[in-house]
Amino acid sequence: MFKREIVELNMGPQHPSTHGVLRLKLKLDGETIVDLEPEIGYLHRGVEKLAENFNYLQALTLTDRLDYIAAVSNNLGYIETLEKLGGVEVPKKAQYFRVLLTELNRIASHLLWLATHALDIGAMTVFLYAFREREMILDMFEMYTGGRLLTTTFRYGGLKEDIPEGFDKKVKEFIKIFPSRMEDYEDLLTENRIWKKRTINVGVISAEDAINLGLSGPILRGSGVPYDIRKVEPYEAYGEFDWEVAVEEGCDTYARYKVRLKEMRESLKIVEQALEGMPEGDFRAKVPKTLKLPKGEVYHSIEAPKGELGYYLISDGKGTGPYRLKVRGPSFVNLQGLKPMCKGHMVADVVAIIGTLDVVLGEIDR
Amino acid sequence: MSEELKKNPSPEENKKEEVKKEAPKPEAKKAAPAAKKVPPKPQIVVAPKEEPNEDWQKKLIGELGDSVKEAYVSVGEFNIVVENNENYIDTFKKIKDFGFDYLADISSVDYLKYEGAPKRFGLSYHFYSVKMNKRMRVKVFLDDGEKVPSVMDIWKTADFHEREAYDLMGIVFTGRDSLERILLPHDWVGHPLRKDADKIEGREEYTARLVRKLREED
Repeated sequence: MFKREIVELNMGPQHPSTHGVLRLKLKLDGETIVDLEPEIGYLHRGVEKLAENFNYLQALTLTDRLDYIAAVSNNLGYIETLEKLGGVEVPKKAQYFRVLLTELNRIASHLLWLATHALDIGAMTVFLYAFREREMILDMFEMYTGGRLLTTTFRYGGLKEDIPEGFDKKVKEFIKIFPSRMEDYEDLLTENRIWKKRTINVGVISAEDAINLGLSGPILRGSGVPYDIRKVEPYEAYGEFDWEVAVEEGCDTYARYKVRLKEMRESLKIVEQALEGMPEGDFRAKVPKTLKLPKGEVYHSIEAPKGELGYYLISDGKGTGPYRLKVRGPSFVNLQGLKPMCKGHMVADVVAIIGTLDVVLGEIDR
Repeated sequence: MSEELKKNPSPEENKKEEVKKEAPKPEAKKAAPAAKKVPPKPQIVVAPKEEPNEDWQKKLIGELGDSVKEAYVSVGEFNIVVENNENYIDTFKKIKDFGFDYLADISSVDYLKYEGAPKRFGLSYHFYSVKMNKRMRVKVFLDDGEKVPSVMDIWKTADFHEREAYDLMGIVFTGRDSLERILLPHDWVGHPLRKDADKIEGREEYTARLVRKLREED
């Protein structure tokens, strides 16, 4: 009596749950997704081309605008890439403080993910709670860098300036409050029946598929692969702290939720250790004022909150800026997981799966 | 009066000019010998290339055989240079079987203004091995317009990377279903990450088309 046909539906680019300007071309059979194609590039600013016309320090400001929720991680990856090619040894104090800020940034990024992910699925309260704690971290960034989101935190060879007075007090206050706040989130979600129904067995991806698709970060770890660059190739002072890699075997949205929650706890452990063991000494190595790097190329990757953030830098040895800078944004690659994860699910699950991928369009479109 | 005013400053100006002309000469003479002592152009420091000496690197080079044109370690990173020939896909299959299951990135480079590159374009494949915890890079150099086989059948993640390399650098990949632009509009003309992108004709054409389209909509 009724004819079955495939309906095409556009989701985005102006859609609250796509977290930016992501457009999805859905092919639907009733409410089931048959096929899906992400359409990106709405936020393309040509960061890689701009970097070729800037000097090394100017290009640092561009990295803020990639993943603008985790600008500190982006800065760290870029500065470390320069330092790897330049062969600079960073003082211990700078290393510790870099770790401290990056881990705070990871918590802030995961809090924003938790807030929006829960909001997309329908839990409004978590949104307000998580933003309250994120504000504390942003205040700390503002205290040190002057910026809340676009921080331009680090400099070649170390830090921009010494740690300000009273900074440790703020961090200590956060360390004291945060564990109980984490319990509040968990009370609201972890055993919540609606939350479990919306996330368990939604967006399943196996470990083999995840590796083949190049997924990284909490998505890969949610599929049982303990690939965390902080652990497998420790950079900065990560090797000196006692912490665990968060891994879950569930392969679904719920597993990735648990991975990120555990990561926040582990990050807080690192922050605590970094603050306690903060060494005395210089905050910057002695480096020339005009930065020139040897001719060569280098690929360096760090564990950003979203996954493997890699910079491929080519220097021609003549200029004071990069000859070519390629950014391997984790969100860009992770977005490829959307199609296999969504197939066979309902439209409402797409919203949950976009949330679990934790994509930031600034990094995808560059 | 006006003539006098005009006339009066002129000799002073002349004098000033004369002084100016005279003044730089001794400075230039002084500067010249100093410049001879310091080399006029600072020498380009090149990151050193070393022979690969770890066991797994030697084993991999041995397994790939003739496909490897050059292998070196630079800044602590293991590099292999291969050629775009009929063994291209086989080489990558061997690399995957060796243990490099994670393709982190494919980067396209335009070597137009870079000294010492054998060809115009380059592709760098960045690999990681989850089992071995090792990284390596495979490089291939391409002429302008040279097509290269897609590795999408081996690593699905190559899809977006190859589309990006085509979109921004204009490198064409063969052996895959479709190759569309990913970041730029689908009717865009040219490839902006090329070093001569500002010379490429067709940008005006694109803008004109856009304006025409907007007017038609009005």
